[in-house]
Amino acid sequence: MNKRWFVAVMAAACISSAWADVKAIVAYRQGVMKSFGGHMQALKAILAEGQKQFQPNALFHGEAILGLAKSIPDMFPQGSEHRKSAAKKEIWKNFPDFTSRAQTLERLSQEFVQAVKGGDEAAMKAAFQKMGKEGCSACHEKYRKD
Amino acid sequence: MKNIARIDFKLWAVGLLLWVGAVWAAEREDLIRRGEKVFLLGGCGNCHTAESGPLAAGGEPLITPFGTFYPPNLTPDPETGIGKWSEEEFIQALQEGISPEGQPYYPAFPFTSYTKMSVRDIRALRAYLKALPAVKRRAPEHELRFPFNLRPGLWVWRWLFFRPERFKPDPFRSETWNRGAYLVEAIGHCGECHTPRNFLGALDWDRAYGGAVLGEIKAPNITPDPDYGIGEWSREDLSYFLKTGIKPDGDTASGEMAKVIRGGTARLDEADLAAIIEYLTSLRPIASDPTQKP
Repeated sequence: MNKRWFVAVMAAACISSAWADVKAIVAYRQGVMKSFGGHMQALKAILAEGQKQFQPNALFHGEAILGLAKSIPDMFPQGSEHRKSAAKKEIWKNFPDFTSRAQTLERLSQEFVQAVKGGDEAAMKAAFQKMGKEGCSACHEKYRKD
Repeated sequence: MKNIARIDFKLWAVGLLLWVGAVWAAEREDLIRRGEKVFLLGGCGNCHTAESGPLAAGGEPLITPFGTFYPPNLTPDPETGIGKWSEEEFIQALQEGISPEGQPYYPAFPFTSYTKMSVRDIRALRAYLKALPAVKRRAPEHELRFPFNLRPGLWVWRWLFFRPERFKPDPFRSETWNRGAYLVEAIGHCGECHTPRNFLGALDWDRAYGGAVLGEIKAPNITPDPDYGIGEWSREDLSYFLKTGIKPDGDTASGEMAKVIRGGTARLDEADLAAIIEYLTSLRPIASDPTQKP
């Protein structure tokens, strides 16, 4: 019986999530994407523009990106297309590929966090560039409108 | 004595042949490597390679306000690729925009920029393409709206808008600037997206690099205007962006530009990158950007 309850609740959750207000999802998603951008901008200032006094924050920025990267696939439920959203419909046509790109960002941000913990500046810079190029941009290339 | 001399001569001849062969092979390899650089910086694969399809064997449809173009196969397949093209025909295609059959190309193929390319670079590009694995894959016919589907109209278009011309270095500018100008205007054909077009699809050079919207492609203003262009970007910002796709505000490139960076500018050597930046930062600033909505 418990199992059935669980299935029923899950099914209800799925359906209701499909009906959820698309606008609100887009608003949340855009907020998270802006957060990524904010952390990336801060990290670029630290690592590429010599703002070394903020280096102690690099770990925090990296962990924030890592934490948010994990939830990317969930932020793009089926049918959450919107006029105001830059998400291309290709996302839902190739969802496994989209998910694997999100996982790439997760892995690369994990590597960046490790590099920050390691403390080697060259390694940090390299991991940061890789994260931007192969994590963020590689997915935007295919799935974000210009 | 005579015998020894003959053997000597034979050895000498074989040695010479091997040497000539090795030099020839090395030169060819060099040419192909140069050609690959042209292919990458020109972003040829961005249009002519389909998603997870074989390299240069024809690409995804290019959707424009004039209709849908199907980028053709550039591999050496004799039937569906460029296998039968002579070197002259290949040069003519890029510099004049005329196919081997004598047909004018639509300017969706950016011959309007490639006309500025040097024969040396075009030959290298051809050597590279000829060395690719041949793939049999015929591109569909373009599907264009009336009146753009009438190919003879292109002769009028050419008469109005196209002048074949090679890149002419400006003697009053530095070598770096001239290298940058060549890379941006000829091979890189940056203006094909970043310069707006008129209603007949011709580039409006009065607003060169001032940003443009073409179908789904939005290419922002890349002139040094501080409000609408890249005037606030430092040279380091520009270099970092062209290497990694990361913008100064922490956002990254997407769509076509992400491809341009990944396959092209990220692989450039420092000197070429610096040259491109030198040229871009010298452009006339334009204080508007059609990609920015008010």
